[in-house]
Amino acid sequence: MTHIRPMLPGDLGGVLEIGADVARLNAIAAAADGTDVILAIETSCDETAASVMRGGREMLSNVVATQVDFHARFGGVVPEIASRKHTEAIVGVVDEALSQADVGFGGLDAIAVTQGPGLIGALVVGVAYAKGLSLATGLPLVGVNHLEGHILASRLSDPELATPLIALVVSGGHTSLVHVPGWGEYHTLGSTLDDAAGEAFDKVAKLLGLGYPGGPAISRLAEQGDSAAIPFPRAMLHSRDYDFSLSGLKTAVLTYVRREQAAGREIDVPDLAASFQAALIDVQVAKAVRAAEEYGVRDFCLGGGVAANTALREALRAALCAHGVRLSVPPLALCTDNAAMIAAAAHVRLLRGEFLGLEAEASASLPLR
Amino acid sequence: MTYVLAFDAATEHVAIGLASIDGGRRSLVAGVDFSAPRAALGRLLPGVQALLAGAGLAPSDLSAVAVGRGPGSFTGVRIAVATAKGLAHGLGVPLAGLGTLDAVAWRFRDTTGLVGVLGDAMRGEVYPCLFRCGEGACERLDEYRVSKPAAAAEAWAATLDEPTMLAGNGLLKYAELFHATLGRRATIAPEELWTPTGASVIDAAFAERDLPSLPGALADPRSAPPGLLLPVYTRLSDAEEAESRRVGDVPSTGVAGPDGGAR
Ligand SMILES: [Zn+2]
Repeated sequence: MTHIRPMLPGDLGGVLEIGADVARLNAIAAAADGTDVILAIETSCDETAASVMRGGREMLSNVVATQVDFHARFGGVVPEIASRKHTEAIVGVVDEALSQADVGFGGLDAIAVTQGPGLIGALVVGVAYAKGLSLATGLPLVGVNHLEGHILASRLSDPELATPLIALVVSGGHTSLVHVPGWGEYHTLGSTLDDAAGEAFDKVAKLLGLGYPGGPAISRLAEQGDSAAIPFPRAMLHSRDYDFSLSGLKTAVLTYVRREQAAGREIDVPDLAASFQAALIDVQVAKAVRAAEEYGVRDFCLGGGVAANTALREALRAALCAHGVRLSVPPLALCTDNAAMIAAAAHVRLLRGEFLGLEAEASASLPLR
Repeated sequence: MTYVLAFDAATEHVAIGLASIDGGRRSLVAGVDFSAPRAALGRLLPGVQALLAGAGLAPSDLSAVAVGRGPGSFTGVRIAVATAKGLAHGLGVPLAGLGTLDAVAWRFRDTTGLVGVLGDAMRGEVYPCLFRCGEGACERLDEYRVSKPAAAAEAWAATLDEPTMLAGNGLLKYAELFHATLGRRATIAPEELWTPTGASVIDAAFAERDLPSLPGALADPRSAPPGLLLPVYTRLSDAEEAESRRVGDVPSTGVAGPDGGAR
């Protein structure tokens, strides 16, 4: 990644072509004025998304073409199908985002794209397409970390949100706890060592024959169940770090189901769902509260598709509130994958003068920094 | 003067060509090809930019883009196709397709006779395809398909009754097999002729074999919008193949199928 601080063209030492220099400097200046118009593209998993954003906050369009129906019958996201679908949909999704925003390529200051983390074959489509657009239009290209996007989603719906803060990103692909001392600075405190939270929901739902995606089905059932009925393990609850491990919980659910079936006992699915969900939430909440205390923040944001889980939101809100910390959760459409959050994060990167060159690669495990 | 850009990255080899059209006359302005194992995404566009700059051209001088639709590595094809979509979409120009195996065959445009191209399809399979070349042109005789190497070799052994030049990256693994099965009918081309070049991707793009074709796109730009072009995969995804093996005929996902939705 090229890092360029705002400065005069002469200071860049002729490393880049003059035209590219001017476009980058203009984009940085527009971001500083809050007038930058960014087209952002997101293809890290199974949503093909594009958004046009002004000044990092004013959403001129936010188009998401979801592929969930294409993956449902396989019980999870099939990477090859996701990559094929992105290739098929990307031009139409971008055209729709531009047309809803009523701008053409000429009205943009920069193009942004999710560079990682995510499914590599899916990321590659967005990055290749965005780089092609950048060369064709002469617009500078900004690379965004997908997790950074989930964090910035909170700022879109909650302008009061202030740094320093702690963010918890929980989705089908991620479970990460991040310290954000200032916008554009990220320190990952911990992440899952195995399954992501959403993945655990999906796997347990599959085991119980509840279909895909599993999160909504389990949380619906959990409302009618007793969360104390089955004492599932709280893995790493007392470990001193901020990492998570969810495969043990999934195995414990599997073992429980097998044992009950072998014994010929009927499984109380609502109790099971509630107990599983409670075990998962307890660990997330405990680590979240400890991080907020340790770093002395007043703000906390939750992002990612699993933020749709009401029990998680409420448990987190109550626990943080008891410590004087405010929880910010974006509306569902901004919690699940979208490109508006990528545009919001790109605005911050623009302010810091961070760009991608045409040689940029996608990265399935892009570190957040 | 009209300029067109064509490239292919469906194998681990990237080929980029730039051509000019002046009235009825077409000529190659510049071409480059290089091996880029697992590095096509990082190296394709810098290669395009360098080729244009070397010719004193800007991207906005292009009137059309043509891209290799495969068959080849799924990811390689998508890198090329998505890059081409971005370029053509951003420039507001049409996007045409070209056949990756055709771009290999066109290396033999000045050789008279049959050319058998074997693309490596991974997972122990090949993309076999016959062409008839001579007098500066190559004509594709087959539709694209995927096949077990032994079955492809036997099929050719049963039907070919003239000398055939073999090329393509599938020979890296299966030259021995095809040589043994076809005997003296087969000549293995030198390895440097197994991959596309800047000149051969331009030739293949103008061959008007792959839809949407480059000549068609130049004649009627609206006939080849960048959103419509799709890769040629020849196979379903693993998940769909496994499902159809398990339960027989299954409904399609509707996702770009084996032939990419073209003829
Ligand atoms: Zn996400």
